Amino acid sequence: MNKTNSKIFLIDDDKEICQSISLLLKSCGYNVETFHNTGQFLGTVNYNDVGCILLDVFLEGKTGLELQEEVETKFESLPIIFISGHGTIPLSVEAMKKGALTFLQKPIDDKELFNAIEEALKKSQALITKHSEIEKFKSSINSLTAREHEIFRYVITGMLNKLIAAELGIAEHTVKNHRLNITEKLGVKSVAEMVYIAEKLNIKGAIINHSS
Amino acid sequence: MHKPIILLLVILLTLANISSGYSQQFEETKNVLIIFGLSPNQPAYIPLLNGVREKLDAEFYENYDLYMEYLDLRRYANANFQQELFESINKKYREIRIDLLICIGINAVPTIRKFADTSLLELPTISMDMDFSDYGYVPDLRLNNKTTIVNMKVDPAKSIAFSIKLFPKISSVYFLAGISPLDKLLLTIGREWAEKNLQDKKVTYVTDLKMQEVLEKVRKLPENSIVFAGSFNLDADSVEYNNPEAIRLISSQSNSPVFGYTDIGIGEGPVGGYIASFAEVGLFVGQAAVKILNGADPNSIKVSELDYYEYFFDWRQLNRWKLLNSDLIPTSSTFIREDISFVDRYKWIGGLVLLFLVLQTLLIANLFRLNRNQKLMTKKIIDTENRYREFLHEDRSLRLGQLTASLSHELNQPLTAILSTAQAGINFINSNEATPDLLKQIFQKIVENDKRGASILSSIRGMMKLESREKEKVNLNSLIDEVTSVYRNEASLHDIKISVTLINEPVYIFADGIQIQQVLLNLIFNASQSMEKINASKKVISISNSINNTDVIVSVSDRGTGINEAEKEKLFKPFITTKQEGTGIGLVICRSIIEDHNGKIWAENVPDGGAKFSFSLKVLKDE
Repeated sequence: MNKTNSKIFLIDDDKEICQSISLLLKSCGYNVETFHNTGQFLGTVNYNDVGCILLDVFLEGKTGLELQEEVETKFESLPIIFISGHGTIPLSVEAMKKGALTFLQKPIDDKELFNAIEEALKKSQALITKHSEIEKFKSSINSLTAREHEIFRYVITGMLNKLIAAELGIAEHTVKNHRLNITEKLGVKSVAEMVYIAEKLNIKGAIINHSS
Repeated sequence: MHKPIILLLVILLTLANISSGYSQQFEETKNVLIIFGLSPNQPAYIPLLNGVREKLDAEFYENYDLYMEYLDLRRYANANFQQELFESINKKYREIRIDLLICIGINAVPTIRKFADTSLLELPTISMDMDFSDYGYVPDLRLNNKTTIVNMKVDPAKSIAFSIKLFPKISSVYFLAGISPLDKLLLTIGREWAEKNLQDKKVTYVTDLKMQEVLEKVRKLPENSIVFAGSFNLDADSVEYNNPEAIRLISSQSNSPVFGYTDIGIGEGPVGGYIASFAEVGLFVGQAAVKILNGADPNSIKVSELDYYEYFFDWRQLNRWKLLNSDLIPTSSTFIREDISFVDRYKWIGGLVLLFLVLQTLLIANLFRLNRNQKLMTKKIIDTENRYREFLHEDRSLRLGQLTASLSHELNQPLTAILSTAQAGINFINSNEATPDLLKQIFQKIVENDKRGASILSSIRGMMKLESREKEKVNLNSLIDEVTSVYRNEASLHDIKISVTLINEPVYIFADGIQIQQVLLNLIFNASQSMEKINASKKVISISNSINNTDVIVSVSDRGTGINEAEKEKLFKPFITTKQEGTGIGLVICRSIIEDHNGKIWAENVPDGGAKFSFSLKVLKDE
């Protein structure tokens, strides 16, 4: 993972902890930004690239766990690594349930810390990648006309062209033409690829009227 | 300019001092000369002289001198002798300044008048003698025109009348007398009175007898007899007796009560009665002397019978003649030789002593009881103290136990900082980025955080200590800050928010900081526990302090269930707990600690719900 392209946000109300951990991270070449409270972090940071958050469980103002929810909505690509002075089991479980990647206990072993950070950064990268693919799919789906979108929903159910034509009461070659346009716009070659996009964008297949 | 005035003042003051010293020096000794007509062994002279001395002593203390001359006129009436005697007396008193002359006794004044120097004759004078003028014997008492006349009118009739009345049953009355002129005079007076007043009694006059014969007679007096021996100076054999001697002999042999007319000899045998008292006359003369020496006019001082007549008794004689319960004897009488049995005499004192002993015994018993109680109390107090200390320690351990999570977090912080910083250092060295400045910074961080850890440990150790530490000047605000920072972790575990509002400047108190923190922790834990069941968003503990005159008031309030009014009273008493866990001594310990700091602790309900515990402490004034 490229350390210079990523950023680590360290949030701990203890000044000494902030300084020492940031020094440790810097000594390994990471970019670090430190914050003493969550308000400061949420208010000033606007970051969408690869990175992660090191968050103390006990914080003045909002607790680390409360922050977790806010962070996950605002910074989708930033996984959280919790650090805790005295990690109580219920707290760690709750944090894990909410999707915290790792729960590190102070005093933090540097290898554990770096492993956790590497993992978090990978996850961040993956999240960004995933995010960008979906964005691509979304824009191509949006480029479809209303009729094309309708036919797309039939195609992903695996229906043949003539059946779709019958269902919609149009000519079979019309369906064929629309389908060509769709594959072109979406940049796909197979139905399987179309199904994958539908799944990613959570598009449901059309409901077929069998009464006819 | 003021110099002359000051000089004048100094001179005046000096003069005033000298003159006052002068007058002090001249606060002169009073010289009193007493010239007695007879010889010093005259029995009447003793009570007379005692009376004079008593009064002069009382007035002049030591600032007077008594000079005494005895003319011994009964034995040395011879004019040549008196002349020679006075030559020496006159010579003697030319040298001495006499302020007052007292003449006492038969023929003293005529002799003085005849032989003494003018200087003596012109002195203020008190002149005293017995006065029988009612019976034709007029004493010559006036020496000059500055003479106080003390004519002691001895009236045997009065004495006889009173004595006769004492014995309603008597049938025989005996008058005994010697043969001296005075003896005869007094006998005559008695006889005159008896012939008028005692016609129903057998009256016998015994005179012209030798003492031996008199004594013989009185041994064999018939029943219901009474004897008057007013004066017996000379018996038929011309043997001289002085009155007390004679009267003692007579009474000692007499089978009947013996009476005299004066206080002379009472105590030696006579019963007493209503008599003329030389002792009283002496006091009167003394009093007159004081007055004259203090400037009174001698002529203005007059004696009256009331000054020297009194009821005077020999108690044992009264007892002998069964007269003690006689209604005729006034209770105001003077009694001598009172012989009351030991028990009677010391009845009151004995009673008091007994009472005292009883009281003392009770007191001692009570003291023993108190002592025992005190020992028990002391033991109890020590036990209580020990138990209190145990509780104090237990409570503190409990609080610390509850704080373990927070404390270990607290300790973890510096450890984490140290570890991370050190690891960073290793990394920098490995990557050859370690500049001396960077390394120095790293080591400094390690040192700082190590110290921080050590101070946390020492404060925990301090809080675990059993014994109370010394009180010292501490900043209350820092104490509160320390406690809240230690508790903060614990608070977030329970979703509790802590709001601290403190006075901006340091508030110094004289206190054992650890104990005050223990109180704070207790109050905070109580607040936290009272809010266990309420909505998380409402869980707030507010800690504040404020100044009220000389006190600082610290309050810890919660939004919990508040205090039950019924329990409010008992809140600070031992083992009252509304909590499932806990010893119930937390607030008791708080109270003890605060009271030990001369403060007060109290609880109240907050209007919006919740309880507020406050304590007040004296603010330490800046020196």
